[in-house]
Amino acid sequence: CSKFLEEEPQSFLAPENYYKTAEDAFIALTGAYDALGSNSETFIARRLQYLTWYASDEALAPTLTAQKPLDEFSYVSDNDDVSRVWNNMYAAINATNIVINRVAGITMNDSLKSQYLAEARFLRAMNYFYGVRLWGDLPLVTIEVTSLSEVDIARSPAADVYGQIIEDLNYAAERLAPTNQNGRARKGAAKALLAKVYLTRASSVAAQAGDYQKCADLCSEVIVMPQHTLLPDYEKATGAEDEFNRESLFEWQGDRVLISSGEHSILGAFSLPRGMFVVPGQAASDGGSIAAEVDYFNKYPDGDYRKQCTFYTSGPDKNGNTITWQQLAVPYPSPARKYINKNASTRDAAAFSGNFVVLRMADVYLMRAEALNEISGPTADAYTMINAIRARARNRDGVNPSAIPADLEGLSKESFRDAVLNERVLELGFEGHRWFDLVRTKRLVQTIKAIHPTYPVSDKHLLFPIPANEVKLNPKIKQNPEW
Amino acid sequence: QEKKRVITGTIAAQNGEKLAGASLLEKGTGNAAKSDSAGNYKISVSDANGTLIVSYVGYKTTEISIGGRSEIEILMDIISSSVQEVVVVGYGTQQRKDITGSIASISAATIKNQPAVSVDQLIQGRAAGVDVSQASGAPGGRLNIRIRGASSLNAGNEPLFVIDDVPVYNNSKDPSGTSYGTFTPTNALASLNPNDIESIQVLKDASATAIYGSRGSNGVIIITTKRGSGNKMTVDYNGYYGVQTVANKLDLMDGQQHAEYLNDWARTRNLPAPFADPAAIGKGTDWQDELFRSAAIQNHQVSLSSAKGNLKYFVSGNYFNQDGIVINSNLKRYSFRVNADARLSEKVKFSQSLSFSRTINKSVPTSGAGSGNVRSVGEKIYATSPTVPVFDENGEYVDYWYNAAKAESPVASLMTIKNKLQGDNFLGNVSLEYKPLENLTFKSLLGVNLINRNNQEYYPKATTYIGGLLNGLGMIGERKVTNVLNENTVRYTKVFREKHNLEVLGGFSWQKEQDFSTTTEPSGFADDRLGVNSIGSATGSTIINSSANEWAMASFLGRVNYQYNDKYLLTASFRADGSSKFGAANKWGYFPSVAAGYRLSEEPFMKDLKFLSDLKIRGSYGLTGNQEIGSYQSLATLTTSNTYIFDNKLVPAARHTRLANGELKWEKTAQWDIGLDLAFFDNRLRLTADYYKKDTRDLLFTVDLPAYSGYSSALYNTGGLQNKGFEANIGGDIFTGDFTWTADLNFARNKAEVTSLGRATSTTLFVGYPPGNYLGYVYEGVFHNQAEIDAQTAQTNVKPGDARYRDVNQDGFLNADDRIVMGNSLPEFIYGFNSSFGYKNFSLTVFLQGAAGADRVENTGLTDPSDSGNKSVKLQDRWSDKNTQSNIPRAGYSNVLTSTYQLMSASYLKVRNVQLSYTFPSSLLPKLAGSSVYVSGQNLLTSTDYIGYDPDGGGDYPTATTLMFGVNLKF
Repeated sequence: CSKFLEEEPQSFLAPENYYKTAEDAFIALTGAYDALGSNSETFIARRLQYLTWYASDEALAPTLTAQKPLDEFSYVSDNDDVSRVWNNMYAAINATNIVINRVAGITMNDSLKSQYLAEARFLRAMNYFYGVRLWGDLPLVTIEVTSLSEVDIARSPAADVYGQIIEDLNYAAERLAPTNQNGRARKGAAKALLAKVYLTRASSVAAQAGDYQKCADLCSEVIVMPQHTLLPDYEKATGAEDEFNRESLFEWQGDRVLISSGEHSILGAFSLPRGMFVVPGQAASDGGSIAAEVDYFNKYPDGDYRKQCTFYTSGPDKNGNTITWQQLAVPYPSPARKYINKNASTRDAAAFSGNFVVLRMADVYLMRAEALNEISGPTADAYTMINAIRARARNRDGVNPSAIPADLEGLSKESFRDAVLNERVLELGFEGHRWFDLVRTKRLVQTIKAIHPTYPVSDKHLLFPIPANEVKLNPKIKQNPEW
Repeated sequence: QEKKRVITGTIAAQNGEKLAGASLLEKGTGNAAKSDSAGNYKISVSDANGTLIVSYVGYKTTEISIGGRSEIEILMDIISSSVQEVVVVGYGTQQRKDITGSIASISAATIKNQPAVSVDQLIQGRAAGVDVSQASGAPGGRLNIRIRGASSLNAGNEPLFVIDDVPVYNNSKDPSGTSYGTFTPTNALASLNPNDIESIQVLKDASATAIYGSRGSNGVIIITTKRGSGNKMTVDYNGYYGVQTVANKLDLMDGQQHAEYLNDWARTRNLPAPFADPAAIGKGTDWQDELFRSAAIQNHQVSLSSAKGNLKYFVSGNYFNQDGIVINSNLKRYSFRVNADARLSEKVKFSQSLSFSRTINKSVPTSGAGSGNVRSVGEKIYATSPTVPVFDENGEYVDYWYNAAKAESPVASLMTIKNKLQGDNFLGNVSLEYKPLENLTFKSLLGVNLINRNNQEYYPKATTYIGGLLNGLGMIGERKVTNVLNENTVRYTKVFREKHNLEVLGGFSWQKEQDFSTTTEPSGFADDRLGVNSIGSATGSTIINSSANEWAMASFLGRVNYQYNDKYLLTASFRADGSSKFGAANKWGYFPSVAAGYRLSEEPFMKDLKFLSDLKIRGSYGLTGNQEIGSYQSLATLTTSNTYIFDNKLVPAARHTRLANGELKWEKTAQWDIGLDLAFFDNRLRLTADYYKKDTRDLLFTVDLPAYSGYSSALYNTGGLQNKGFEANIGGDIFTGDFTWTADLNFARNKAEVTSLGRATSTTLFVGYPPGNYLGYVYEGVFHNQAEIDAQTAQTNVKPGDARYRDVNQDGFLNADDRIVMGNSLPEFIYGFNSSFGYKNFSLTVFLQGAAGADRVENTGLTDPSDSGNKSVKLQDRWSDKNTQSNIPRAGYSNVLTSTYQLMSASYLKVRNVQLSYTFPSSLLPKLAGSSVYVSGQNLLTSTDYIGYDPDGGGDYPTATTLMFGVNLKF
């Protein structure tokens, strides 16, 4: 009789009748990657960037009224983008928890199993790392949630979240191979991410002695890996034309052409210069939604090769006449360059096909420079790191070398710190690092005040508010201070 | 000792039918007897000149003086009232006088001779506490039935139908259609021919419904079809033919009026005025006249019936054909039924009820669809400007008009959109009854409901917007449903010491449903003429889907009825239901009920009150459940798709998309009912009244989950809802004799309240308020001039002629906090009034029905001045430079908020049916005795303030008024 009342779904899969083979394990792991962005939600390559680009000095939202509050620091706890990032991040964490829970029980090749589990741990750590930086203390869920009673939990202190992240990344770094399919986690990515975790924790409330040293050591380990290197040409390292180069450590995968209605980055299309026809068949309506702050643009010295590899400053209008960004309908420099594939022949392929680079080697060099400086001031080793980046920028494409930017020398510890932060602007602009850098170095409020004195930015903005709905749904979740 | 005398004879009804089991008693003695199965009796009496008291259920008790006779033929008069009628209850029958629960009966006679494809259309207003409202006036359109209010928020609220012992939900089993247009979904009851129905019982309180356990919360409607009767075979023909017209035309602007409106509208948008001379437009096109028509409705039925010997049978065939009042809509039904009962031996009886029907529904879009691509009939009428002619000077359909987005010619698109929903329905049961002892009966029943449905849609590229966009869009859907039921019951009845009446019922049943569907949605057709019949020629992308679903239930049930001396009544029932739909831990639910009745009229001290014929007080309490959710809701789901990329190639990915809820369980309703049955003057005046309170808890609720669970929502048992109310039914045989007048009034009031939201959060439900609230602003007319605008701060960016809303919290800003609960969609009370007059062979019935206290937010755009569509004539009085005192916003005012401006009362009173019939006396047509002819009118008048088509629903396909003529012939 009890058999009679048992449900056996026939037109969809239930976890109960899944997770049996290595193939199932792989598909579940893919699900955890897939959770980094689904359809237009694209957590990593869209909403997360809204938060870090708009709510820093990087970009503004001239045409998007819904994102104006982020840009102007008037956002509140039911901000839609904040909620979406939170929701998607946790959906992605849930997907990794499921892999970790279920794949362990599958009978399959042990080394493959170890690799899958390591990839899932890498992804879980990456998601939590975004979360702990955006919100501080977090509900720390590391099990597969299977019933409603498991979700009534409080926030764990940031220190515990960092602890979990470090445990996961150590696990991943130990087990991952140096190479993997393009788009999947590798040993280098795990180590680089762990370095970033230590660097960030070192200046956070959860700081522990030795964090900077661990960061510096891990960066070295990545730098000496033969699989990863600084490419000689900056454009090849950052352009949408050259995905999966040897500088890249981890990329989120999106492609509108391959997946007609599926995941793609809108960063390219949204940050195009409106009215400047730099992409074949570009629709006039897309561009201008993301524009560079003029002050930020002006941090790039003329003659720095990275300026032209980051911004569209001039181009043809619809009649073919060359115009500059000041003549646009939305008169701001366009930061679309890194997200537009200039070899593509269709608008979709050009504007929607770019991956989003989460980690690359230049970041590792600059992290090591920063960590070494914090440990014992600007050592020769620290100069080597930052000057390698500047030398590569001077090298341009190897054909037209430039004198700008010159090597750095003779700086105090404080000036070196400023120099690294500035180098990160020039090198890593619009790659999703700026807000985190400003918060990590406690420069967010003063930086915003300097260019927008009227914006009500304050220390509370060093963390985003917990989405209002989460606080409403669970009284144990306490809001961040002053929100 | 006195010598006894023996008297013999037969007891029969006036029509000659022999009455078996009638009681005889010699007055003042203990001498009693009963008639046998042939109606023969034999009684020993003490006094040859004494008096016999003869009684029989449903007949008037008579006293006969013996007068020395030894052989007496006794004829008995039937009682006109319903007090002694037989009522079908769950898994059995009872006499009305013995009922302890709240059950309303609707006899076939009260709903006959009316044009309706399905029975639910006929029960509106017929039973107290049964609120029937229609979603669409289209032929075969589905109705919403709420018995004693809605007891659930997220799960189903429709009652359970039990058709000849087979439980059936009236949910649509249609294959899905395209996402663009919504056509009339099949009314599951349309497969049942109303002419085959013998009786309808509405089980309302827990005592009556708890025997249906987990499916009883929303009430149960038991439908019993006709069975063979009469000593010889009779042949009946029933047929009618009628004409339907739209019941109510909207008061819309004519051509000139709308041209003036458009000029005003364009001016406020800084567009050039489109009409230099509005008067030149004249009346323009009346789109209602173009899209509505006089439509024929006809029904023909032949039935054979006989109960001669050991075989009873009822066989019927039916053809029903209804053209819709909107062009290009039609519904046909062919149905066939064989009901038979065969007595195989003294102890064994075989019964079967089998029916087959085919419905073919050609429908037009009845609801606007996603992204405004397809418009319903109503929308076509509101949206199309009367300034546009149907045809241009070349005789071509006009498919562009002023500022209309996605225009298509309403006539051309309605005439060319193809939709055909064909359903084959087989519903039947076979049963075997075995009676080893006089008072013990075993019954086993096997029921089957097979549904095959096919849905076809086609949007031509030439005449429809969506068809044009996709180069012709089609859809073929197939769905097969198999539902099997097995019921096994044992019944024991016993009379102890004459006064103790006991009936015990026990049983086990199981039911299982399998459902498989496929759909194909191709686009890009070479030729509109072939449509979906040439699916192979489609060159666009085709969406293909399939799904399989199953559910199963297993149940144990039991009931005890006990009566003492016809005075004290007790009923207790219990059902244990196991359902596949719930979590592993909570598959089984237990549903007990108890009810008691006290017939005061049987007390000696009441017997003296001659005017009082019946007085009974009843009370009941019980638990019922609701399981109307989809299958598999307690299970986690895994969704797979090809949406991630490794090495520049798509790879399959799986994600969990639903959280398992192993605790998922029944929604439970606890219901109290206190009732009173009263009858006076030989049952000529009858009153039934009930007060009830229903508390539903553990509502099946879709609750939001914290996102860190990894999921956004889950179905969960939480929250509570209460319905309480009062219902009454008053009936009277006011005149009897040559001129008869019978009247029945029913009335019900229900008050619903959300008592708890539990874990759930909602923006539309509030604790302490009923569901169905309208939240909106308080409309305060318009800003008549700039001075009024300057005098306030709440609304910025406004101009004279713009709507003015109240700053309710007086904080100086108009925002969402200023909204109030301004109305509710639920009626406060509903009522029906039926009056029948008879004179000799003529009879006239008038049936009125109404609902009061419900509100409706008019959202069809009739009063919305923001767009260029046609408008209600009320907007003639809109604010303008020349009409600055108006309180209707200016043409082109776009920031129209949901407010009391759109809120209107949906109270109504309708003359639902008026019928005049003439029955041929046997003297006139001896061979056709009992035959009749009639004229009948349906939906004749509506009294309401509501400005749309029908306050009872049907805004997208209006209701029809029907006039018809019919005959009932008996051979």
